[in-house]
This record gives sequence, structure tokens and C-alpha cells, in this order.
Amino acid sequence: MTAIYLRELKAYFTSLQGYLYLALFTCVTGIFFTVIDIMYGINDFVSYVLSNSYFLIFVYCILIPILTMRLFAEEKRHKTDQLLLTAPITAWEIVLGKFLASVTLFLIGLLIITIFPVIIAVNGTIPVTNTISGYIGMILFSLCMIAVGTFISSLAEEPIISIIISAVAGIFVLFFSNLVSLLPDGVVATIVFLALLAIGIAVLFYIDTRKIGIALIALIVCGGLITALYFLNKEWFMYGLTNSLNWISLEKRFEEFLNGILNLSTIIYMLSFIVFFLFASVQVIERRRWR
Amino acid sequence: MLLVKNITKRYGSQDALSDVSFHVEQGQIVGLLGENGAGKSTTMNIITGYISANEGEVQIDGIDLLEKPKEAKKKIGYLPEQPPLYDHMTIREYLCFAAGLKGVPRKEAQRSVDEIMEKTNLSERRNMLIKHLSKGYKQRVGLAQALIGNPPLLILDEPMVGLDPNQMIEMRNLIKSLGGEHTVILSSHILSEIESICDHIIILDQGKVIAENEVKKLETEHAVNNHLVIVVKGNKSKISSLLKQSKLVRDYTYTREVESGVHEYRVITASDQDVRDEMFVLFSEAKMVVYSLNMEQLTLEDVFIKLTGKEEKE
Repeated sequence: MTAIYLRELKAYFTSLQGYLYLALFTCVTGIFFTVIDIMYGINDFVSYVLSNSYFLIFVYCILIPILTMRLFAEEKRHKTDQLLLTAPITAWEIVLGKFLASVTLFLIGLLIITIFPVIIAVNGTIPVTNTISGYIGMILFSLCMIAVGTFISSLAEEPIISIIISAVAGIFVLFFSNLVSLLPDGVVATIVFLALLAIGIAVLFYIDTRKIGIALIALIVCGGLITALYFLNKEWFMYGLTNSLNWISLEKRFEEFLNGILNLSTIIYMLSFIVFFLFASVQVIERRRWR
Repeated sequence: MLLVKNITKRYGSQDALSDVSFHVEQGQIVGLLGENGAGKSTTMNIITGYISANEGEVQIDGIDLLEKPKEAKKKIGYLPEQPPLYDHMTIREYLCFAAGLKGVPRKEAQRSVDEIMEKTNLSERRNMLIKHLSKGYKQRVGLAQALIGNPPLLILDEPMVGLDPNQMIEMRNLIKSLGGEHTVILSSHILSEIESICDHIIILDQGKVIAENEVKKLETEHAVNNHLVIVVKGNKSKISSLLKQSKLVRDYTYTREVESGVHEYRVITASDQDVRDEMFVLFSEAKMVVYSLNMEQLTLEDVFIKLTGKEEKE
């Protein structure tokens, strides 16, 4: 894993990618810092810069996809994945090595922009607790998005495809609660939503196996689960859908950190989210062997 | 050293490999032959663990590839058809990275990389970026990568492809020198290369093993007794009429005049038995001097064409 980690990290700096990422990240953060904190004389970096919607869109829909786009997609394009997959290492080691290299570059960028709250602290007072929790939130949320980017890169054949899908995923995650608020509540809406989800799962099974029988079994199992859930907890079907979707919203949980709330369950949720997408990346790599 | 047992690989409903089995002894250099799409690369990819077979098993030195992939892969060095190289790395950086991947301890890695660069004639270019190397050098870097960690089994997929004649000779000598210390399996389209390097051949056709043996045995096995090449001194029309009248001969063709008054004929005899003695007597009774009288030798190419039925298809 160390060999892959070091190679990936070095690869960021032997191409434009690493420099471009760091330059854009620090430069854009600097612009937001100057326009918001300096010009308006605001001493809160986290609540006004790191929470700014435009800043978040820029980071998670452009920068993080740049960071993760070539992790696997480039290996496939140049067939260097043959070296990795025939080496005496596990798929987990490959995924972790690549993920940690991206995380390291992200943390380098975050360390550089720490100069902005330090400037505020030196010249005035800064809400220390908010800043620290905001930073922890930013790190965890970014790790989640890097894990999603790693997963997308493992699926994509080309880096450009990876960057586009990651950008769409970034928008989806950032505006998830807005999308959820558009959903109607009530039994019919919940059943329609779950039915569409079940069809989506069945389609995924079909794409993966190319066997209609397996897709039908998946659809029947999902249908059974929905029916069982309906009879076990009818109340949930009345109001539960939007509440549940809001519960899984990453962006809502990120907001807690930005508001200075450190919640253990949120931290565990985000860590689980990271592990889930890294696990999914490992599965994609392992599945590729069997195709 | 290597046991491949009943492996089958399907892509959708198409069988890329069907019930392929063979074994390779320690120190052998084995050539994997087959037309495009015969399943050579698929077989190699399965042996190295890059892809998995739908059925069957692969054992390297008694270790099952599926049960203990890490241990099994430690014993393999793999040069795929397109060497897996990172353009922005120097040769030395790349080989050190490969050493790290294969778990070679850091102290040992430096020494091992230097030795392998020496062996593959890469030392002078150690600090060159891979993207600036010629095809031949890239191929060598790929081979050097396969040698890292001193694996007992080397799998080389088309190691000669794209090389110029001088590079081919170098690569051939290098691979030959690896035999004995390493077990080598290599695939190639250049049959003469395979013939000169390998001591054992496996021929694949449409995903199946159709022949497996030592090169010489394969050539003898598929040779036919009733094809003779005769070189006789004498009048051409007399020789022809003698052959025409003889009951020993079913058919014959005049091949060429070897030298003035000396003619070569390709003869198909009436029986499948070796009738060289009788043929000699026939010509000596007619007072003609037989310069040579040989059974026709098959080359590996002849065997390959015969087995894959390419000639008939064309």
C-alpha cells in the first residue's frame, strides 16, 4: 500500500494535476476570504467562507473531481492496472493507497488555507470552537466526497467521464436536502418512490449479470421488503420518507459541524459512508476480474 | 511449477477458453502458440490473476491462485503484451515502485533494481523518463519489472512484438539466459523465435489446447513417413521415368536442380512404411548416384499450420 500511496502522491506533482488543484484551491479560497472576511470585516472564516454555497460548489463539483478523476480511470486507459492487479497486494491496499494519496493532497491544500483564519486570529478574535469544528466537518465531508470520487473513478473508463460524473454527484450531495424537500409526503408518494428504487436496483442487477431472471428475483425481493415494511410500520409510510432521506443527507450533517456542533453519531455516519464507498470501489475492482 | 487444470473462461455466451489444462516443469521455457484470439493472452491473464476463470484452477508451486492469491502472485513476474509503464517515471523510479509493490524490503530493493538494470542493459538510461524511451527499451523495462523480486515463474506475453531485428536478438538471448533459473512461459507470433528459444510448446486453437510437447517431438510426431526428399545425379527425364514406373512411388514432384546434373525430387511413397532402402536400391540398380535420401522434416510452422488447419481455411 505504501508503494501505491507514494507513487500516487508523486504523480500529482509530476503532472500539472497537483499544482493545478492547489493553485485553484488556495486562490479561490483567498478570493472568498478577501471579498467576504476582509472587505466586510467579518471575523468568522468557517461560517462565511467554508459554508458559502458557491465555495462548496466549486470545491466539491470541480476540485475534488479533479483530485480523484485519474485514480483508476487512467490506470485502465494505459493498462497499468495490469501491474497492480497482478502484484501480490489486495484490492483494498490498492484502493486505500490511492484514496490516502488524494486525502493527503487535500489536507495539504487545507493546511495552506489555514493561513486565512490565522490572519484573522492575529489581527483580531476568531470563534475558535466554530473554526475547529468547521475544519473537522470540512475534512470528514471532503473525505466522503473523495471516497465517492474514488468509487466513480473505479467505474469510469476515462478520466473525463470520471470528472463529469463526480461533478454531478457533488451537486446531488450538496443539494440533496433541497431535492428531498421537493418530494411529496404520504403513502402513495412513498410507495412510488420505493418502487422506483426497487426498479433501479433490478436494472443494476441486470446490467451487472445480463440475466433477466436475477433482475426479476431482485425486483420480487425488493417488492416483498416494501410490502413487509408497509404492514410492519404504516406510520413510516405516512411521514417517514422525507425524514429518513434527510437523515442520510451528508450536507445536513456537514452543516452541524459548520454550526459548531460535534456529534459523535454524525462522525460515525460519515466514517461509515467513507468505508462504504471504499468497499464499493474494492468490489468494482474484484468484479472486473470475473467479467 | 505451474499447473493449469480445466480452466474455462466465458465472455457472455462465448467461450474464450474451454477446459484448458497443462503443466509446466521447473526451469522449462515454454512457448504458447496460437492464432489471434486463440486464448493466449486470456490464459496468461488467468495464470497471473489479472482475470479469473469461470471454472478450473491454477496452482503455482503447489499454491492455489484463488485460495492464496498473495502468496501465489509473489512467485510470478508478468510482462503483458503492452508493458504496464508509467510515462512520467524514470526507469529507476518505476523499478523501485515495482519492488515496493512486490514487497521487496527497501534495503534489498536498491541492490536488486541495480542488478536487474545491469542484466537488462538499462543502467545507462536509469534516469531517463519512460515516455522518452524507444519501443525496444520500453519492452526491456517491462521485462525488468517482471524480474523484480526474483520470481521463479515468468509470464511474457509477446515479448518480441514491435522490436527491430537487433532488439529481437538481444531479447531472445536475454530470455534464453533466464531459463533454468526461472521457469518461462512466453507467447509469440514469430514461430522461428519460439522454436529457437523454447524447449516445450503448447498450441492453443479456439480456446483449446490442441498440442503440447517438446519442439522436436512435436515435429517428429506430426511428420509423415511417406514424404521423401531425394537428390539424385543423372538425366532428369530418366530419373522421372524411373519414379513414374516404380511401384514404390505414388506421386512425385520435381523441385529443383541442386547443381549441374543433380536433381531434387519430392516423393510421396505408396506405403506408409519407411522405404528409403528400397529407393536406394532402385536408383543404384539404374546406375544413378543418390546424393541424399531423407524423410521430409516438418518445421514448427508446418506443425502449427497442420494443427490449426490454417491452410485448409485459406
